[in-house]
Amino acid sequence: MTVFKAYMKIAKKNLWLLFMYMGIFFILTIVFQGTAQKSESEGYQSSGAKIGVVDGDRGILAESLIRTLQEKNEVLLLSGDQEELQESLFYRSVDYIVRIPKDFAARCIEGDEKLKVTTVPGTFAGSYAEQAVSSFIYSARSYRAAGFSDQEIAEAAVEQPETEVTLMDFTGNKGEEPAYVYYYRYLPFLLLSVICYMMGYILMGFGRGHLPERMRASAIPAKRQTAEGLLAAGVISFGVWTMSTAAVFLLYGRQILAGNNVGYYILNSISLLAVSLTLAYLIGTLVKDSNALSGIVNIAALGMCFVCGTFVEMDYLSPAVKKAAQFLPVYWYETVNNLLAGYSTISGDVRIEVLQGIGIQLVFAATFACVTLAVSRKRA
Amino acid sequence: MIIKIENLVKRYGSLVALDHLNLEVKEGEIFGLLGPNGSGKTTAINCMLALLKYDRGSIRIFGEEMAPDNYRVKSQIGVVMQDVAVFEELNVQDNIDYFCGLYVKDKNKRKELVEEAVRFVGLEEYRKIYPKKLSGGLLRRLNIACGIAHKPRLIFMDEPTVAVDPQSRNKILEGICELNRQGSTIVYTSHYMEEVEQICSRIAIMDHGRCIALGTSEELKNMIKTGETVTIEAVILEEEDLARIRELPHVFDVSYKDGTLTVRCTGARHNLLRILEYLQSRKIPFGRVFSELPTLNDVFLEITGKQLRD
Repeated sequence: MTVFKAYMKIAKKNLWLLFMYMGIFFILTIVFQGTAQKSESEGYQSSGAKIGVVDGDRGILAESLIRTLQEKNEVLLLSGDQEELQESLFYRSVDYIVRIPKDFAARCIEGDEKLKVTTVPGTFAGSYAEQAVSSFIYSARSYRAAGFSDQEIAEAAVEQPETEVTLMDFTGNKGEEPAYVYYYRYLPFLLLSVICYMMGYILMGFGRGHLPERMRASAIPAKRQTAEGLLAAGVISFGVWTMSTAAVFLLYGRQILAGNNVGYYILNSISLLAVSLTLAYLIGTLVKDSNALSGIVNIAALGMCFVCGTFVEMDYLSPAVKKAAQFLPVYWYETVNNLLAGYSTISGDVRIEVLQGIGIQLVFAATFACVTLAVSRKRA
Repeated sequence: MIIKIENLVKRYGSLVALDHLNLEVKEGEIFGLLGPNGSGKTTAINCMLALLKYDRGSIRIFGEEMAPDNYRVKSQIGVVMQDVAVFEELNVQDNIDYFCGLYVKDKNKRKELVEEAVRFVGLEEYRKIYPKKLSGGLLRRLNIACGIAHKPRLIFMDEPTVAVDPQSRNKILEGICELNRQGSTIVYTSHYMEEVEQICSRIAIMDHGRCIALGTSEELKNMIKTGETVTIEAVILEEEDLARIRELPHVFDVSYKDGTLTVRCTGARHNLLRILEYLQSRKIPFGRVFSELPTLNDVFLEITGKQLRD
């Protein structure tokens, strides 16, 4: 087992790298997880717009509209002076100005005349204010059609019932993603970086200069050397994977075991392991210099993590990036990961999608292995 | 015979690297392969090690046909590559242990052999040092230790002293002779004729993939006409003087270039004296005078018409 032992000796020399990447990985996971959960909890906070109103009617319905807007917005009553209106918009005292004309009820509620509005282009506050005004107008028209008087319309519009929103818990996680989802989301960074660098470093060492010739001239058959190398690569990779899996159980043991998808998570991470190992073989075969190795590993690992939904959630990726990412294995790992995070129980079509994602990763692994073999044979 | 090569032909496309090469190496000798760069020395070694496929001919080592899967033969061979081939990631001791481990499975025996190899090449103080921190000479010594630690019966050394300082070179050459005394047969390639002449018991001179001369150093020198080369620094020499010198007894070649007169004579006594007497008689002033016995370079020069280091 001379070759096997040499692999292990060189790997041992790079153990610091494993711990360094694990440290970065845990920091990343904790920071991203904290940020994501904080932003989620703030996601449904209500917010209002700054609305300027020029009341040219001063009737009961106009007053009702102003009161309705005041409930969720900051309303500023303006005189209608053109200069004052322009200044208010320019200095952002208001985002939106609505002019209520004289005979508001007759012209805008009974008739079809639209309210004159001015808004700061491209602001969500303007759209929000417009929605609030439109909502009042449509409600008032409905009440009028039902025979309500101005007074009744004014009261009904102001006393509109609050809509109650019920969050449906399809995932079994009370609408929130469990913490270990983040761990598995960032796992490609750890596995790809550590395995590609460690294995790449070892394979680069074995392929340096005339070492392959010296090995071929030796008394150990080439097949045995390859077999011992593969065994060592398997042990090293499996060791890294075991450490990462043990860490997830240590950190989120109860949570993950309470879910139904633990098996799929493990299966998905094993297929990612296969991708990392075969990619490491390819990189180690192609690269001859340690500076180039670290450059290529960073490009491969970080690059895939950025475009495949690891560091940036898939929802925020542009369609073009997503389309390109489909040609990379990490995209399929993250797709499976998102499915596992989205469904508390995997069955039916979702199960097929999950297995397809895992299968595609294995196809990528097989492709990397074939390319490595072809390159090695061409060089031999 | 420990190695027998017959009609070996190796082509790289249209380039003939080995052209019907025939060689025999006897057990217990240091066999030198001498030739300029590109003469086919390394190709011949790579074919003997079954690292290269050849087009025609046969190679028998220890009486067996050499093949990539003949591990019985390979287990008795040691290789010292032209370029240093060691792991940068392993220290001196681990490197030697690794390469020894490719031949010797027994851990205790290997430990002894590694220790012996470390002492043999004088790297006792550098056991835990990584190759990157070793000087060129020490690195070459490590390269040799990795090739010989398992005590092979036959050792191929492909230019092991390239780019090595004189002190390390002497140490390496002494080591090679010691290995030979301990019973190893050595095939040694080099383009340094002095080295080959110093340590090899028999020498094959190669050019264009062929063995153009074979024998001991003395036998090779006796093959050629040159017995003595006289070189004299003389500033002014007329064509008439050169013609007269050419007519002196035993002189067969005279050349005059950049104020230096070179006279090649057959092996005979008083050649130098006769040339100096002529110069004095003609009152031709001269400076430094050298008289050299033939070298392997003269052998190569006479056979091929070019210098060994051209």
